This record gives sequence, structure tokens and C-alpha cells, in this order.
Amino acid sequence: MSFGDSNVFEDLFTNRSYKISEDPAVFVKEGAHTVVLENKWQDEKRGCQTFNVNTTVVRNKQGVSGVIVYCEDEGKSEDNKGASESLSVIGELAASAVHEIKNPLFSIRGFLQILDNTLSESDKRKEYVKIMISEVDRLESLVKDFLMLAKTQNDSKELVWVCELVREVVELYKNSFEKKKIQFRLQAKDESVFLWANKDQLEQVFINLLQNALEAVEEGGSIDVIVSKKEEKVMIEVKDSGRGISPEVRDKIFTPFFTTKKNGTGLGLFISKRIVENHEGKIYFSSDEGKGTIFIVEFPMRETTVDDRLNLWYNVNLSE
Amino acid sequence: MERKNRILVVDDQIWVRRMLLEALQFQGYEVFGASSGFEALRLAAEMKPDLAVIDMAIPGMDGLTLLSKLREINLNLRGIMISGDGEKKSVKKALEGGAFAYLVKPFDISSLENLIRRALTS
Ligand SMILES: Nc1ncnc2c1ncn2[C@@H]1O[C@H](COP(=O)(O)OP(=O)(O)OP(=O)(O)O)[C@@H](O)[C@H]1O
Ligand SMILES: [Mg+2]
Repeated sequence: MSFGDSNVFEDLFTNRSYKISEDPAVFVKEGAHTVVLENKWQDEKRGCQTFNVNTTVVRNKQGVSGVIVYCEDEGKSEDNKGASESLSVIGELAASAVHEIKNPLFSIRGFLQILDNTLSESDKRKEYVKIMISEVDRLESLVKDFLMLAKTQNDSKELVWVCELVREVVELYKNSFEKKKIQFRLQAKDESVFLWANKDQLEQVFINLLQNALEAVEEGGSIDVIVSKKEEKVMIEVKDSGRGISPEVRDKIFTPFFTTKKNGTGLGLFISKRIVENHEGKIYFSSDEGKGTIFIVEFPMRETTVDDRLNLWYNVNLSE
Repeated sequence: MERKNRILVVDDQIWVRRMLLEALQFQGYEVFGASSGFEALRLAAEMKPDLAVIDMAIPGMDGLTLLSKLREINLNLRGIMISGDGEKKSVKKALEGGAFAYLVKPFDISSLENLIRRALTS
């Protein structure tokens, strides 16, 4: 492709052609750039418009397979800054508070373990110490979940390549799957599925769903993740061959602190639902007791039509 | 008789440090602690540790810088990094920076003990 001809960017912004006054090579450099475009048609006021352009280079095993370009009208982005900044301040505060809580919990747990090692099996105090350790563990996982909740306060969004994100999360679970001899399959029916989303939050949703699936299946069970595109929707399904969800608890599983697990906090699905809804998506499930469960997360596909807020992904094959 | 393996524990949180020191001493190691990178370097020059357990976020100099300085003095020193931050990026950076292992706080003391045993025999 050639950058010399401004036609390349026709349709990318509006249906008009623009001249780019800055070095157009920015489009192949990864990262954030500012591009000034000059309207070259005569019917409107002639002038420059500034865009924030974010480029991401997409790589596969063969090398670079494309470039994602996200453009944002500068004027618009300013408006939203105030709100999201104050939210991220709250999130950051909560996150550092959580870190402060972790250290004392850690030393308490450690000292209890030392005590545990020094007491003999017949000593009643050993049992007390064991209870204290498991209570500290409970506090720890609560704190961890709150950290997760704090992270959902950060609302900055970026273009997320769904299959790649799912692969990253699955990587975290490789060992646990192997340990439990789980047959895991990832089916990416459509590789080119992108979402405009907060990556950390989305990752958290998949972590929660995979963790639940892992906890639900017996040794040797199976877990499937399917990524697909259906009628303007992005669907991600997490399917397990686990114990299923009993009818009595079906309408409770998304409420905070509802859990049927000994060491559960009951925040996983609550947080996931909140995140998904923040992204204008839906989360639902169907379950067959004793046979398995499937959780489905659905997001509206980002439209690539052009409006005054210019969000789009543009996949260019550089090898051509 | 062979000399006991020496372990340096660097963490600025006093009770975390004390707890790690006691737990490792209980395992039969010779231990000593420092609360900052500079204190650690001074102690290491004198005590010549075989292994260091270092918190990533210590005052003065960050944990990884300390590890590389310790390894300048003794190339065979093993470093186990500990941190409250479990981000993949940080783990990767630590391992690439020469750490033998990375443990996310809070962890089970016995995992640290196992890792140390492995580090000292490898
Ligand atoms: N895949 C699944 N199979 C069977 N039951 C499930 C599954 N996913 C969720 N559940 C049920 O829903 C409940 C709530 O799930 P949720 O993830 O919110 O909390 P949790 O897993 O119990 O605790 P945590 O906060 O650690 O995630 C679970 O306790 C479990 O009973
Ligand atoms: Mg869960």
C-alpha cells in the first residue's frame, strides 16, 4: 500500500478525502500519535482537525499480520477525561489500601504457620492455629476480590483482540488444567473479533468464568471456550462438564457473596456481571445438573460506520 | 562440618521480615535481614549469603537492582523475589533480571522453603 496517495484514508474518517499534514508514517509506528488532517474539499470551511491515533501492530507466528488503527476526535476525548480520571483515583486508592492490608495478613499467616510447625498433633492449640490460618486465607481472598473490584473503577478502554486475550488467560490456567487432567479446547470461530473494552476487566471476567469451570469439573472433565460472531454480536462461551448448578440456587449466583464453596467469596460472578454490563453486554448461563454448565458472554459488535466519534479498526495487510 | 547455607532476607516491613527470618531459621539456615538495599549490600559483603529473598519494592533501590548488585559481588548467589504485585509483566521482568523465582505475597511459607531447597541444590 502507499501512503503517498491520500485516497488511502478515504472512508476511514468520513466519506471525504483528507490530506495529512504530518508524516503519515505514524500509521505504521505502534503507539499513540497525533495526526492533523486538512480538509481538502471546498464545500465546508477549510481547516485542520486533530485526531488522536492509536496504532497497534498485530502479530502472528508468521510475523506482522496487520495494523489496528483507532482514531479519536481530540475535542471529544477531552470531555470525558474528568469523570474517568476521578474514578481511576478511587480505584488506585482502593488498590493501595489493599496492598497495605496484604502485608500484615501475610506476617500473621506466616507466624501462625511457624506456631503450627512447633505444636504436636495432640495439642488442642494446633487445631486453633489451623482454624486461624484458614480464616486468614478467607480474609486474603476477600481482599483479593476487592482489589479486583477496585480495578473495575478504571474505565479506560482500548481496542481488544478477543481471541488473543482469551489465549493469554488460558495460558494462566495451563498448569491447573494439566494437574486436573482436563481436556481443554479453545475454538476461535472468528479470529477477527475485536472489542472496544477495558482489557484488565475483560480479562477478569474470563478468569472468573474459567476458575468457576475449573472448580466445577471432576478430574478428567472437559472445558471449552468458544469465541464467535453472531449477528452483530461477539459471543464468548465457557462450557464445562462439571456438576452443574442446582435449580434452587440459579437465581442467586449473581448476587454478591453468594457461594456454595467452602472457600468461595461469592464475588466472582457479581463482579463479572457488573463488568459485562459496563460494556453494554450480557452474561447468562444454562446448566444441566450433573452434566455441565455453559456461561455465555455477549457484547455488541463495535460498528465501523463513521460518526463524529471515530472508533474503528482497520486491518491492513502489510505484506501486500 | 559443612557450613550452613546463609540466607539474606530483604523486606522493609518489619514483621514480614522477622517472620521470614524465623521460619527459615527454623529450617536450619543461617539467616540475617535487611530493610533496605543499602543495608543489604553492606551486610552481604560481610556475610556472603548463598541466597537472597528480596521484596521487589524496598526503599532506596528497587529489588531487582539490588539483586543485580548482589550478583556482581557473587555470581552464584540465587535470588528469590517476593512481591504483592502478581502482574505477569513484573514476574517476567524479574525472571529476565536473573531471579531464580518470583513469589506473590501472600504465599505459603512452605512454598518458599521448597523453592529455597531447590535453588540451593541447583
Ligand atoms: N461453572 C459452574 N458450575 C457449577 N456451579 C457454578 C459455576 N459457576 C458458578 N457456579 C455457582 O455459582 C456460585 C457463585 O459463583 P461466583 O463465581 O460468584 O462465586 P464463587 O466461585 O463461589 O467464589 P469466588 O468469589 O471465589 O469466585 C458458586 O459458588 C457456584 O455454586
Ligand atoms: Mg468464582
